[in-house]
This record gives sequence, structure tokens and C-alpha cells, in this order.
Amino acid sequence: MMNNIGIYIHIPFCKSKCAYCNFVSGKFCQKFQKEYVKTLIEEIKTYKINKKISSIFFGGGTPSILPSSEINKILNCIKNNFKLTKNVEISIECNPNSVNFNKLSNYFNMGFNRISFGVQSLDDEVLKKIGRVHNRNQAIRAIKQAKMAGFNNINVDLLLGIKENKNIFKEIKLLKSLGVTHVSAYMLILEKETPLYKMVNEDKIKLLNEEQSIQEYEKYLKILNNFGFKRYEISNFCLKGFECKHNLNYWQCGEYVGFGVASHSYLDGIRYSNTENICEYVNDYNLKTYEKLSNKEKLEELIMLGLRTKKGVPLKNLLKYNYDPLKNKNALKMLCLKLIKINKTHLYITSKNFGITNQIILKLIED
Amino acid sequence: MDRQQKIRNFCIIAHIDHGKSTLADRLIELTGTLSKREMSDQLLDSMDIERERGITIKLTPTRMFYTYKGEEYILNLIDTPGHVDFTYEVSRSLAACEGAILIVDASQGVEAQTLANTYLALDNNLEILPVINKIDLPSARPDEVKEEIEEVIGLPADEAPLISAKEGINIDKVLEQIVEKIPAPKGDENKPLKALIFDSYYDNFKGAVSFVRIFDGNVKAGTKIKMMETGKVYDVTEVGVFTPAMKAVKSLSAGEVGYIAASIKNVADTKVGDTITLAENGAKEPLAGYKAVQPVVFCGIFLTDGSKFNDLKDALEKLKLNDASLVFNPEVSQALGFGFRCGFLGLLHMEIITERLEREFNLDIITTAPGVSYNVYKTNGDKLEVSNPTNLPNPVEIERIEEPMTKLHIYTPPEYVGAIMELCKEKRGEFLDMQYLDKKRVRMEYKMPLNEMIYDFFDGLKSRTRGYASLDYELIGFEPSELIRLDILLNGEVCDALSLIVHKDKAYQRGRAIVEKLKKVIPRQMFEVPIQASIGNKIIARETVSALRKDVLAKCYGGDISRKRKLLEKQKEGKKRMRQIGSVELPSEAFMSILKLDNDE
Repeated sequence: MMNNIGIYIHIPFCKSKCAYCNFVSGKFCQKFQKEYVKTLIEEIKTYKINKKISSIFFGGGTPSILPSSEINKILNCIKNNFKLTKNVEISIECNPNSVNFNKLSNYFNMGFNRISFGVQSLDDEVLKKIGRVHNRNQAIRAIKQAKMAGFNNINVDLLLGIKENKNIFKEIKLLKSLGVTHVSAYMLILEKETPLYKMVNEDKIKLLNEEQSIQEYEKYLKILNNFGFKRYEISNFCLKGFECKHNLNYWQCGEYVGFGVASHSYLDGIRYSNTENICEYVNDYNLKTYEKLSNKEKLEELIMLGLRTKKGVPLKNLLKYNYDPLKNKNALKMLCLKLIKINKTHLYITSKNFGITNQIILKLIED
Repeated sequence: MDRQQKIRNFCIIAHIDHGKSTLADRLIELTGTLSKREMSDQLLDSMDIERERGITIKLTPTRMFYTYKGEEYILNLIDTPGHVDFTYEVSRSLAACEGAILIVDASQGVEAQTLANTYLALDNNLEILPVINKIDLPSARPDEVKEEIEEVIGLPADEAPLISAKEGINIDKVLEQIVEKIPAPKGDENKPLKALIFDSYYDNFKGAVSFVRIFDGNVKAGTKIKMMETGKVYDVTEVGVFTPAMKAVKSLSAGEVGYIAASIKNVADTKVGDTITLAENGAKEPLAGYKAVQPVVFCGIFLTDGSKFNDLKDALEKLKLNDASLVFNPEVSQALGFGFRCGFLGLLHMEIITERLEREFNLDIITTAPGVSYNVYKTNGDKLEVSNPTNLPNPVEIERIEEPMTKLHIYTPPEYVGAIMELCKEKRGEFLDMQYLDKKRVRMEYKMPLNEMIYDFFDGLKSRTRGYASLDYELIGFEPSELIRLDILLNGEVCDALSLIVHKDKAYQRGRAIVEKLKKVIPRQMFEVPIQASIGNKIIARETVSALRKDVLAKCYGGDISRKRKLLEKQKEGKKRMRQIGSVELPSEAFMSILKLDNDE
């Protein structure tokens, strides 16, 4: 696993920008989209690496906004240029209203084996509040069609913390019955300079407060667990065997290559970042910045990312950087307080304390 | 013709935002003192903070030449600070002039500061020239404002020039009136030297430089001078004028404004308000009105990074070079480590100093709640001056405590009398007198503990009277009072930096308000944190910061680990700004926030 790498493809296009989003994405005309794909393919083609690819992830933005033929071109280019493992996981993110049965069949036939829907909520009022362009019925239909098209590994993203959800049980039950195998449940983060931030500040929208959000999250945890969705990462849940390989690779500080505007790569301890300016990218995809991680930074990332998973961070990896939790004052303190635990192989945060992950991480890496 | 006939010494007084600095700039520009190119906007406010806040703290005089009816005149403009903390400095600047331009905003009319400063100017027997500014604004109502000036202030405003300093309209009229109406100085060149220090500053080469107005006699390089207050004697090394840059001249004579340098090592030896005379056969009597400036507000200043203590010391020493009113002494806090207890003229002065420490010296500082200095009489006969609550002795050892009192003079339109009385009552004020000056002005007098006055009284007064009331105060000595120490406990431990000295009757109310406020500013921690207020061993208020449970349950996106990293770095930085008090992490702002209690209510 460690020797294989993941590939991330960034498609920065959306039908409209969601009120809470501060990622590099937006509305662009079709001509520009074509131009972008051309550059993207160029970037992939010129990239040479001798490692095998164990996962490919099309994210965005909304990759499904592109015609399937364009997606096919990109995927083919990857297949021609890299060696894939036998069990390679190939995922694509879709917006429920930008797919139909044909498109989904096409995806399946060209080789995608995992699909991820930005459902966010099954409450139309919430969807409207946060500026999503789809509704509940479209979401349900999209999942059904994906199943019919042949997908057996379906993720839905759920966004929490906007309005109290009284139907969590019903909704999770419904999603499971539709064939959903993976749920990404994350809390809304109010990012500065987003329209939602402004609306909240101007009191035009009221979100759940911290206490309410936590209660809501805890309800989700319980119900998801009851339906067999196990928490394997701080905000990811899946049925047995459906862990997302691509994301796990990130948490384990594995290597990956990103293509497209604002994408990132991590190889040989060096992080490469593509420009975040889409016009610049189309002009010259080689505008990358490099950052060589120091051992200290590598250790920090190991802890920061590894502790997000249920399994935790491997002790032997920590020792590689001379970090022994049993010799670290802060780690010992937290072990005593049972905020973190150690088994034979891993240092991990108990599920109960996932809510203070950041604080724990900061304590662990304190100078 | 007498030389002094060609000199006019004046200042500009105005309510904040009525355009004082802009008019000063226009005058300088129109007289050709500086070309447009040489001027950065609002020239006289030389510090960044002054420009940002739109207030003038330090005075910068300027000499201008103006030709009127074929004769060349020297106009000396002395700018004045506009805040009650600096009232004394204003009064000394005014004392150096024969006249004042009173700016009134054409749409806003007469406001609090207008009145307070006008009274100050009248006290100094100045000729006042009203000027109506901002007539270019659509909301301008110059005729009504003229009436207001006549009715409220009682100054004839018929001939007041209607100007726009911003657009440069009618500035020449102002210059004409300065020459026509402001009296020329009437000093006697043949008498011994009498020069009033209205400001001073420290120059790395020249030493402490006094900004002076020469009333009688003359002075030049080589003159032996004496400071009448301190009795110290110096040899003058240089005299000069302000162009507005400092330019050496041969001598300064009666009526003139300029500077005197005499290799003086310390600005504390060039006291504002002091009179400079000759060392031998000097003047018998100093000029009237000298007051020693005493700090009245004290607070502790500490660093978030305790290892930089020496940097803080150097910074304070540098500021002190230029600001004789700043005092500081080393102090140790259990919670905050090594720092200084500093004394200031008032809250604004304190804010300016702390801001300069952060900005000009790049220090991350923590200030404790400001307080005053108390006289504590112990049962064993000792007397202590206590400005740090931690130093208050055990109650059984105290015979009595006296607190500094002030007499307040408040000028207000009659409709706010009720609101002011209420506010003064809340602040333990004692009513002394009230007078209707005319239909629109009332003068109220109160006696109030200084401690109460510095806690947001000025802001409270402004907000309850929509900015119309103006305030002046004087210290009138100490009076016994029932004061106690209020302690704040975090997770069961007293945090000394949060202790306060308060009046017994206000302890409960304040204790409650502080714990509520702290609950808001202390971030959730990994465990529950009780916040308590106590008097002695008695807990009088309690709040709890519940444990933190929600962290970034965010989606990780496209391998963008650096985004996560940045977030982590930011949190790390945030942690650096936190002070570890026992097991609790406290943001630096917490120490100051307990001050701003009244604003929230």
C-alpha cells in the first residue's frame, strides 16, 4: 500500500457556488471548461512516475458537470499514462442534479467503481438555505440511478449544523435502503468571505449553536452506528469493507499526485501545490510551488492526520521521528486522562474524544 | 513698526472630526510654507496612531509667512490635542497664544468639545475667531450654525468665514482674520527672559528640546538659562523655529514661538508649563498656571512571551524619553511573570502607550485592568500607596483606605441632565451643584472617586448624551472609603492579574459581571473550567466554561493537507497568545476585557 499512490483530479466547475464554499471552484462557460480539460490532459500526459496507482479521485467543484466524453478522455489519459493496481478505486464526485441514468452508466462503463454524491441534506429548506441547486427528490433519484447503473459503492456527503433534523433515523434508513455504503458527515464550518458567513453575521440566517450542533452530531453517530455504518475516521462512516482507499491514503500520509488547478501532490517528502488561479493554470500548468517538509513537519502531519482515523497513528512511524508517546510529558498526561490510548501498534483517540481532536493534536506537538 | 506687530500666535480648537488638521494643512499650503508635493496628508499629526484615530496627541507647531496688504506677517500655529486626558497640555498650548480659531462643522453644529475647548480658550483670554467648516456638504446649514454659536457659546458669529478646508474654499478669509483680529504679542524685549514651555520632546542629538513661547526678553545659543520649577541651569546650544521642520536661528525674542535646545538629558527636566528664564538676574515670578502632571491611572503591562522582558524595559524607556508623564516600575505577577506597573494621565493615554508598544516595538503585551493609587493606613501606623490590588494588605491589618477623588465639571444640554445624574449615581458620584448657563447649556458639578471615573465614565457620558456633554475634571485629594479586594479564581486558583480593588457595595455586581464576561472570552478547554469571583474566602459569583467537544469535523479536500496545516499553525499561533494560568489557557484579551463591562450592558 505504502508504495502505491493516489491520483486526485480537480474539476473546479459548478453550476452555482454554494453559500458556504470557499474552495477553488466556480461558474465558467463551456468553452473555458474545454480549454481547462485540454490543459489537464496535457498535465497528466507529461507526468512520469514509476509507482502504481491504487486510487483515482475526481473531485471538485462538480466533476459531473462535464460531459461524460470529457471525463472519459481524462480517465483514459490516466490509464494510458500510469500503471493501475488490480483493485484500483476510481471515484467521482457528483451533484445529484447534474447526473442522469445515461451519464452514470457511462461512468460505470468507463471504469468508475465508486461514486460520491454531494447530498448534504434531505431537507429542501436546508438545501435552499445553503444555496444548493438540487432538492431531496433529485438526490434520491440520483442514488437510485447510480445503483441501477451498477455502482455498489456509493457515498453521500451530509452537512450538519444548519437546522435541527428530526428525521435522522428515517433518513439514514432510507439512504441505506437505496444502497448507500459510505457516509461522510461533517459539520458546517463558517468560512470567512463566504455569502453564508455574511448572512449569519447580518442575522439573516440562524444556524445551530455549538451545543446544538454537538447534540445533533451525537445523534447521527448513534444512528449511523445502529445501521452498520462504522466510524473509521473522524467524519467518515461506512459499511464493512467500504472504507475510501483514496482518503485513507491521505490520513496515512501516503503519497499522491494531484492534477488541475489548486491541486496538491505529495511525493518523497515534498509537497507540490498547483496555482490556485484558474487562468494562470490554463496558461501554464507548471506554475507549482514546492515545500520540502522538515522531519518535525512530517511528524506533525503524521499525528495530525493519523489521529483522525479510528485506528490511529502507527507507533513505529512515530518512533521513526524519535517521538515516543511514553516519553512525552503531554502525551503521558493525556494517556492518564484517557483522552488518548495506546495499543500494541497504534496511538489513537477514543471515539468519545474525537470532538477535541485538534486540542489533543496541539498538545501532542507542543514544543 | 514694532517687530511684534508682525507676529500672530494662534491655535485651532474644534470638536473631533470637525476638520482641525485639514484646515491646518490648508493654511500651511496656502502660505507656501510647504508645497503640495512636500505635504503628506494631515501633516501635523505625525504619529501613525494619531492619523488613524484622527486625533492629535502630540503638538507640532508651525511657522508660516503671510503677506497681507503688502506687509509680511509671521503666523505661528500651535496645534492642540483634543482629549480630556491631555487637558493640561491643551491649556498650556492655549496659554502660548493670543488667539484661537474655533472650527464648527456646518452640518453638525456646536458640540461638546467645541464648548469645553472654547471655555479653556476664554480662560486663557484668547481672541476667538469662529470659522464654519464643511460648507461644501449638502447637509451644511451655516446660518443655523451661526445662530448656535451666538446662542450657545455667546460669540458673535456674523463675520465667521464660511469655508471648506477639504476643498480649499475661503481659506484666505481665515488668514486675513488671523492678521486683522488676533492681537499681536505684547512682550517686553528688555525685561529678563520669560519663556513658557508648552511641549518638549527628546532628540537623539540635541537632547530634550523645549517648545517655547517667548513672553519677555530674548534667548540665543550660549545664554545661561534656568528652569524656574526645578531650578536647574543649562547652557543653550541652539534656538530655532518650526518650518515645520526644526530650523536653527540666531535668537528668539519676545512674542516668538520656537524651540530651545540645551543638552538636557531628560524630558522630565523640560516640564510642560514651566517657565524658562535667565540663570542670572532672571525673572522674579514664573508665568502662571504651572502644574506638575501626575499619573492617575495605573495598570500592569506584561508580555505574552516572558523572555522578552528586557525588550519591554527598553521600549518603555524609549517612550519615556519623549513622554515625561509616563511612569513605570518593575512588578511580578504569579500569573503573568515579570512586567511593569505603569502610570498614565488617563485611559486614552494608556491605550496610546500600549498600542505604541505593540506597533512600534513589536511586543505582544498583556495589560491588566487599570486602576488608581490608594492610600492604605495600616493598624501598625504604616502608610502604603497601593496601585496593584495584589499588594493590598490583609483586611485585618488595614485601619482605613483612602481613595483619590475628582471634581467633575460636566457641560450638557438640559435634556440629558436626568441621564447624567443616573450615570453619576451608578458611579458613586456625589452631586455638588448645577447651573443653567443659558437655555441650552447646563453645568453640573459632581464629586466622584477617580476609580469610578476611569471605568468607562467618559464613554458612558458620551453615549448617554449622544456626544453632547463634555467633561473636565480635577483631582481634589483623598477620602476614606470602604474598599475591598475582589479576586477571580480560575479552576479554583486565584489569578492575581485579574484582581481588582472595588467599593464594598459594588463588589457583588462587579464580580458577577466579570465572571459572565470571562465566560464569554475564555475559550472552551479540554475540561470544564469554573470561573469564580471571591471576597476573602467567600465566593460571590460563579460561571462555568463547559468542556470543548466540537472540533473541526471537516471534510479533507483534494489532498489539500497544507490547508489543514495552515489551520493547525493558526491554532498553534493562537495558543501562543494564550497565557497558561494554572491549568487554564487564557487569551491575552481576557485581562483587558473585564474593563469593558459597561459597554455590553
